Amino acid sequence: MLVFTTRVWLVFLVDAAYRAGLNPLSKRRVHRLVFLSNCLAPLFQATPNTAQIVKYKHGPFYPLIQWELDRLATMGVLTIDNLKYTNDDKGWWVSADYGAGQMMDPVLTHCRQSAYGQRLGDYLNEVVAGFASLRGAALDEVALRDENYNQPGATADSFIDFSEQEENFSLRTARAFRDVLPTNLVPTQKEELFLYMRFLEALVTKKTN
Amino acid sequence: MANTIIRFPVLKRLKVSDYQLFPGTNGKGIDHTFERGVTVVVGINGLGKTTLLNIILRSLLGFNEPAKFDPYDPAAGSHKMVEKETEYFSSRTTNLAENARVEAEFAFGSDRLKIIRHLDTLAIEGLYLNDKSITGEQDELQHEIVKASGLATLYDFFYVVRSFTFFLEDKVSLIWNPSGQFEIFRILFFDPTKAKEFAELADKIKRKDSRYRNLRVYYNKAMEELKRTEARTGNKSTATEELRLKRVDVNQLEESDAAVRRKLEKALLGRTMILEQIQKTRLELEEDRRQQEGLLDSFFSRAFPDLPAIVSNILNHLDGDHGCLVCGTANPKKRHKFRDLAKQGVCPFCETHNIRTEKVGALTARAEGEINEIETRLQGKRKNLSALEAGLTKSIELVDALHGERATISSKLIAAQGELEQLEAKLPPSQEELDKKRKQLDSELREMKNLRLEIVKETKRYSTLLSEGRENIERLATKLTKSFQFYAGAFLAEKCNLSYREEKRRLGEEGELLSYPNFHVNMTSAVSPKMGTPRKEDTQVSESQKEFVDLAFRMALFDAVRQPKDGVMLVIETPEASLDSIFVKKAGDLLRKFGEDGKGEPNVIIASCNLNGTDIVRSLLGIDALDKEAVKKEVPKKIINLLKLAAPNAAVREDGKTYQAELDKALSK
Repeated sequence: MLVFTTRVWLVFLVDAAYRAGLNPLSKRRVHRLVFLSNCLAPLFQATPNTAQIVKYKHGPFYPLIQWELDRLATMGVLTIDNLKYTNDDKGWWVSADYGAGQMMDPVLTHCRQSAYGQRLGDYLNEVVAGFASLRGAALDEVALRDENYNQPGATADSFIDFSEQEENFSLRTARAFRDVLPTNLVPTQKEELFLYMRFLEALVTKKTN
Repeated sequence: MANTIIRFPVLKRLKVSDYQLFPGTNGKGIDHTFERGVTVVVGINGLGKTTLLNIILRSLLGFNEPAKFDPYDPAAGSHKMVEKETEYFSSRTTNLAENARVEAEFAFGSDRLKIIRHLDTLAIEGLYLNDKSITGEQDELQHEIVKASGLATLYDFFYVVRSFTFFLEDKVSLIWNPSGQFEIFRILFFDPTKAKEFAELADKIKRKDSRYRNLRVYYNKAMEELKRTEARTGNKSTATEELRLKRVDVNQLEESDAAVRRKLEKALLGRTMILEQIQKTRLELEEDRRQQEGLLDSFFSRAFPDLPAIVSNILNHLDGDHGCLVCGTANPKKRHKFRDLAKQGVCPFCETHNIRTEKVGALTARAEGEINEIETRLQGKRKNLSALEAGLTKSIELVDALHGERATISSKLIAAQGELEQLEAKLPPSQEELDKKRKQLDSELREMKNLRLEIVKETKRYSTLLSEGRENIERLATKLTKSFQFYAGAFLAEKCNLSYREEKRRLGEEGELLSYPNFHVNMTSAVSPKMGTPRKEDTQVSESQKEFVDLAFRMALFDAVRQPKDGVMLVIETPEASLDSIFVKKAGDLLRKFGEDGKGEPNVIIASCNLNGTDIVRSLLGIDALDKEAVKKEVPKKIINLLKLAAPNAAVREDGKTYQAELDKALSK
């Protein structure tokens, strides 16, 4: 079951990226979008695909999700291009770009027939729209500045578990914006998501400067 | 007779300005000087007759009202006055009566008091006694108005004005309502300081009577509860034992719950640790596979540089023992086949040794060595991962089982805690608690006894004051009765007189039964034409008789208490409403005579009348008794014609001329 949920999650993400003008998606970016969308899922009453991750030298990365990405590409749901193996001081890395494959449309149509698929698709569209609205230079950095990824005490190789909402620092920060806004201005879920993305972008800019 | 002289207010002049309801001619509002005798406020429904009468009433009283007042049951209220915000006048306008004012000049005996109020708030803007301005806070100015009347309190002034001088539709009946009658007797015939003390005592006794009754209800209930509780103490040992056993149950369940909770926390921690290890092992596997694939990729990508990424990816996965992307198998059978072919330098698909593979050559020994090393590491990690995944499955099963166990224990614990609470509630209270309860009840009983004693003491004083007041009233009985007979005779065809008798009534629900002075009506009838029979209730007379007996009683009262040279005022709302045609003429004649009577200050009768075809306007103004010249000269002075002075409503806009013609006809000689 989890395999199918993961695949649906990935198909929606790549599709949303395609619509937001982020086509093709680098492998690195796919994993980072999966991570951000997992962190903020409770904001839209969605269940994260996975709420655990190991802090990794290449940034958020999920081996199981990578397998499913490659499987979807083999099935023709996604496309894979620019496959390239490199070896540097961080060790071996395989870069690749993923895009919408020939089989994506019928898969999406099928997925959207269920209420779950509809809701998940809507949520992931919002996440990618928020992500795509950021400055291009900040796109691949924002996940590294995320509040869960940088939670207090997290060092290299730390295991991060945000399955309990009170331990989900990204969610708590996104919801905290309403406390600093004027009392008559109650942000919507979407506004909280966008504000959080802007907040991460500001952190990236601050670090760069 | 009371020592203090009471002066009743008599309206001399009324000006209403800037009030939308009464724009007057040329926007000047209403400005009317009241002559001796009857003045008629004439209009049709909705033109503001009642509003105008209320302006006169409120010019005297402002926003002051009793905290509780029921004109149909005045004895049930209290004498405490409060300020009540009113929107009565402002709500009838579209500008909230902004700048609207009433200027009313009253005679109180020989004194003249001019009162100017804002109509929106009823606040006093100006107060003049004999043309001399009086300044002060609102309550001080209101007190000056009361002082001019000689009455002791604001309540008494309110009652005299609202229930005696004004004869409105919702009035206190002074003849048919014994408590309403006694209240006016108290005010008019008691010594003023004693009248005040009497009213305060009545309020105090009623409050205490109410408090006593409430306490008694509570006390009786609490006493019964105490008795039941004391009766239960016999079964105390059984209940205590049952409670003790239930506490043991609850304690054991709490311990079990805590133990399972600890186990669960430990299991959750274990599960998280396994998850962490699994994730880290997967990443390590991923890295090793990447390295292995990378080493092999150097061969294939050199041999087939144009190979599509999808094919390279499949090939690298198979070759790197990374699973089959085509069928999804994690451990494909021919996983070494492609590597072996690469070692031989042949095409991995058709196994041909061709020019492309020749160019690239076989894998180097170094690369092969590295690959083998990685292979060994991978095998170890795969085993670890399998073991961890199996451990995770067990850990998840354990967590699920512990959740189930905890749910069972928790529900048992909640049930046991509920039972424990019930048992505790059933358990008789301790001796200490019982003593406390008894002491509390004793204290309440003492308070009840004290209240009762105070009520008895205060009632005694009240009775003394009542006796003194009664003597004053009895002294006036002859005068009052004679005067009433005169006025009632003018109204009624039947012979009608007053009879004095004591009216027994309790002060409060359970107070002492006291005798209050009271006059009631005796009247002859068709079946008893010579001997009058007592009529104690207004249902025992006709509607016309009811109203005019009450009016005759008021006139008689005025005669009994006013100073010989003082004028009085009666304000009557639509007197024609309850009169048949014969009464209309009689009533008009009598009211006119009463109004024109007196040798000192003039009496003023103000009556509001509808143009409804009856002869009441004509009768009140005595048109038939006047010559043509007098009608032309005098009658306009005695009319407040709302057809001209009030803002025209739809009926006036459509049929104003017809109404005016009807009025002209009523006033014509």
